[in-house]
Amino acid sequence: MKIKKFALKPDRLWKEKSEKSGKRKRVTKRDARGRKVSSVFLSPSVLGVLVFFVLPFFVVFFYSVVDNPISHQFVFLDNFKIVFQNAAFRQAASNTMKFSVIAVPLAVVLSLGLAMLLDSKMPFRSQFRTFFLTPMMVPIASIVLIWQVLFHYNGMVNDITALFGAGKVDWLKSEHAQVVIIVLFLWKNLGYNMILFMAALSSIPKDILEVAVLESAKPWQIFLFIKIRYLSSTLLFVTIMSLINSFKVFREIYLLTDDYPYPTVYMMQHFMNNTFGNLDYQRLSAAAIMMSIVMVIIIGILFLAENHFGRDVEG
Amino acid sequence: MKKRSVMIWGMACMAVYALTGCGGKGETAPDTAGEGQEKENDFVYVAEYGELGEDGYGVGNAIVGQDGTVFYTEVSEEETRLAARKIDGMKEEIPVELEENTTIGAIGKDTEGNLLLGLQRSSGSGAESAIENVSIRKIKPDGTVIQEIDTGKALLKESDFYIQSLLEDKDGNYYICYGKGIYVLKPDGEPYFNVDAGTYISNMFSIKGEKVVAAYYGDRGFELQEVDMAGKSLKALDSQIAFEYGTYQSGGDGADILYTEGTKLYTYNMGEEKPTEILNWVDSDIDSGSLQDFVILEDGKVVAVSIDWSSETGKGEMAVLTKEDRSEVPEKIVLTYGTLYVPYFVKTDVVAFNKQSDKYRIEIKEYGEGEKDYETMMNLWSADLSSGEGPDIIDMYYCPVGLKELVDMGVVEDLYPYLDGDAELKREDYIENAMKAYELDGKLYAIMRCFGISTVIGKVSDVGTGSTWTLDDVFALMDAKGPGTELFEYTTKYNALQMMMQTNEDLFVNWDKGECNFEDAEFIKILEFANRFPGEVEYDPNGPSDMEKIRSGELLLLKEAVTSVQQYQLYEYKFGEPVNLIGYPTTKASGTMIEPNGTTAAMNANSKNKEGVWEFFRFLLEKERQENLQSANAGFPVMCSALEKQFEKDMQTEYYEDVDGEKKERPKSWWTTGRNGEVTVEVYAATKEQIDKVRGMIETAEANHIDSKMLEIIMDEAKSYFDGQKSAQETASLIQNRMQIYVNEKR
Repeated sequence: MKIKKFALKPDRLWKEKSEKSGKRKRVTKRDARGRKVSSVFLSPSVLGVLVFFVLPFFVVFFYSVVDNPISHQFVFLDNFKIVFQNAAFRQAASNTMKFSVIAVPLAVVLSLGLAMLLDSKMPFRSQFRTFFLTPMMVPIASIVLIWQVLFHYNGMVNDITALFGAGKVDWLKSEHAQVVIIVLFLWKNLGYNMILFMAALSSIPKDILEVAVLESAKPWQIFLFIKIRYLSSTLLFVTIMSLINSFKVFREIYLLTDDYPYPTVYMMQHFMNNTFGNLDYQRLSAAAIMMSIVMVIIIGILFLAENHFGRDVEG
Repeated sequence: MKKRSVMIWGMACMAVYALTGCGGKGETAPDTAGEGQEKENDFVYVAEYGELGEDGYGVGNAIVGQDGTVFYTEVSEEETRLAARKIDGMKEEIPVELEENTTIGAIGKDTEGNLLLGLQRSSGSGAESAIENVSIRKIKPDGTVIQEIDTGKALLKESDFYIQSLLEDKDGNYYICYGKGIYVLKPDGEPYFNVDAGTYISNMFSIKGEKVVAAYYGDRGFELQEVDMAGKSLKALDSQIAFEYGTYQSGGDGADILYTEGTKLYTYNMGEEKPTEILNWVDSDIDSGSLQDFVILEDGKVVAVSIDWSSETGKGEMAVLTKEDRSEVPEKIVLTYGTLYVPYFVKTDVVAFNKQSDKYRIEIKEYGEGEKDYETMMNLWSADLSSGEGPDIIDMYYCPVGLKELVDMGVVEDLYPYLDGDAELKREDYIENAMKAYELDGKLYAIMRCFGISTVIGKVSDVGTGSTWTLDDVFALMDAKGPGTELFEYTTKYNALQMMMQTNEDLFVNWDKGECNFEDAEFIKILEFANRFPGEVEYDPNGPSDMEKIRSGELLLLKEAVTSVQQYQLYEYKFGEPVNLIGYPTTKASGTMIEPNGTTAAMNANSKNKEGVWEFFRFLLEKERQENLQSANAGFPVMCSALEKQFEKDMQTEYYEDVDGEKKERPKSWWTTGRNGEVTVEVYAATKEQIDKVRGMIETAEANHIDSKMLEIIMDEAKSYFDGQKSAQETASLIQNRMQIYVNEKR
């Protein structure tokens, strides 16, 4: 099925116009003054970004290539080598990757499914919507408390399973710990993702959907060839946000299981938080840079995927 | 158009101005504070010192009058006399007639500049004599008696009564503080009422002669309680600020309260929201821990009197502090001593160093000053160190991170090159295992002035004569003695686990290979051992003392930090038969541990005054300082010759002549023990065997490198085992899992 192009993107439009006219636009005095004024307005933001983002990045980079923050002896990639060879770092990276690989697709697929469900004409739609959004309103301390009540060794889940004759399981200090954390992550994030998808679903042009129905397209075809394509930018956004949130799940794990948890839930941020606590800034910086490189690669791939799948959709 | 661009530029400037935080109100306060700080820093209090007490006399009591004159008692074996030293240094004796066996228990003052003497008459002169009469004598500063109040035995209701301090209010009522309470007497001396604080009152003072206030550690922390004349009780002092532990005095005419908290002197007026900082005692080379009294004179000078109770006779010192322009004071290179809290011995050592050094002076930077939580002070401390702006000297006694972390950070300097390069000090002059306590990979990162030995003491008949024992030996002993016998007094499961881990932690971790084996049978045995102790213990103030329990066979062992030969002798007395310092159960060669007991510090690798830092370290390590640790239980010196000299001194018999002229052996030290402190143990010259036992204990002791994080993980997981929810094996597996991450991370 071919998607109709509705309009040209503004930058492409300008480019085409320029090409057609065959000459460069003359920069007037007014334009120059406008640029100056806008740059003055921009400067506080630029300054803020420089001071709070760019400069710290260079400081982190500097720390990652010196032996320690005191003597500042250049060691090139030694810190990276040490960190990469560190068993705790590798375990943290593996756990974080495993968690993200499982939790992020689940968060995207389940929230999309929920959004589709609530987009249909089912009863109690608004109540369900509110229900799924509730975890967003609960403070983190309460979430942790709820989870402790549920999954503690003497918690509610074990009490319930005991009714069926099952033995006690130490959910947070056993191989099951990552499952508990994935459930917690989904419970907390599904509502927000769902709202984003619902908004995107509502913006799909109705006439296209109607045309598809008239053309005898099956529901799965409508979903795959129309809805998914129109949702591609939202999918990308939700995936990136879920990925970022999957890294941030450390906060919940830390509050639930402290800074040295059961090995399966020992995440990258545990490693970084603990090395910071030990004043080991050089290893912390090296780990942070390695992690940011991986993040950039993943997000880059996601952008490429979005460009590929949503290339013929105006969004 | 121009107008518009001016407006736009103006708005942009305002935006930048607002974003950079250059607001109106915000700038005033810090700038003013900064100015004030600068002004304050332009001045310094310069001290002139004067010793109190003639040769052969110690200083017993001392107060400062409102004109700066110090009144004090000079005490010798033969007599007690009253003396005054004026601000110009002139000393005079104040004639006071004292009956036989009468001492001046305390000196106080009224609101008109007269002195109050609390006189105690005893039944004899020996250690077993008791107070049989108490009187108060009010005299003029020249000794003329104004009033004499003989209370007879009216105040002697408590068996351990002694006059701690006394004063008179504006109405002429007398207040006698006797430790845990205050007696109030009417102006004619008739007993009025008694208030009981229930705990030791550290200071009693008056506010402008109107309110009398007691300062002590109560149920809610440190408290100031006013004596309520109407209610005949103590009531909380109505104040805007909370007071911390310190020395509190009357503020005289200038303020309501004058007090020392930490190392600083403050004045406070009731109703004010914060106190006024006057000075830092350490800056004037005064140890605030020894201060007895202090006064601010009308001309701004501060007069302070201190007594060094750790000296053999009680050395007194008067200091007159004058505010002077900083530029007029000879400049010294300032070194900073950074610590989370200031240990009392650090204050003493820093003050002693500052007094003798013409080139350097140390200023103490206390990160925990004020009401900071641990995380805040830890952040300040680590930010300072990691930015390279840390203190020149890093305190290791209260260091929040381990030595290894400091070394990995590159913060601490190897001290062996300094020691080896020193013309006088030699590496081999110091006790090897004591130096190893702060050694890592053959480099010395900190020095300690003196140390104690943490060990377990038991009867030879119970623990044998060996130098170490295992948990199997302990189990055998426990089983042999039966269930009614305590192994250690007041020890919970957690205490037991902690003490076992302190000794044995390194058995289960191989840092070189990055392996840990907490599933080992020996660790499981430790868990089982700890589980034999009660979950909670409650201190019974009316229960039998440890000595009574040991003698009756109810208690088998004591876990103690031995800091002197006399202390070892005390344990021999307590057990009533030969004892063995066997140490904590372990499969290692030794179960005894070296612990710092005095100033312990490292040199900041980033310090700009490393020579000065080494000057301080060598001051602590040199012979004179090592041979004069002063206090009886200050610890063992790290210098071999000083330790041997100390042993010789411990073996020397000292004599005194009693009232009949008979030569008697003088005790070297004494302790009160027993349920109500009714047993006084006097310790005399040590025998060679006793010295050999202590020496043997020191020689076999090892460094104590407890990793607090590891201990935290173990304690956390052990809870479920102690609560009976998991088996020892399951608990050990969990600990192993979590600990492996920790070990991996640390490599």
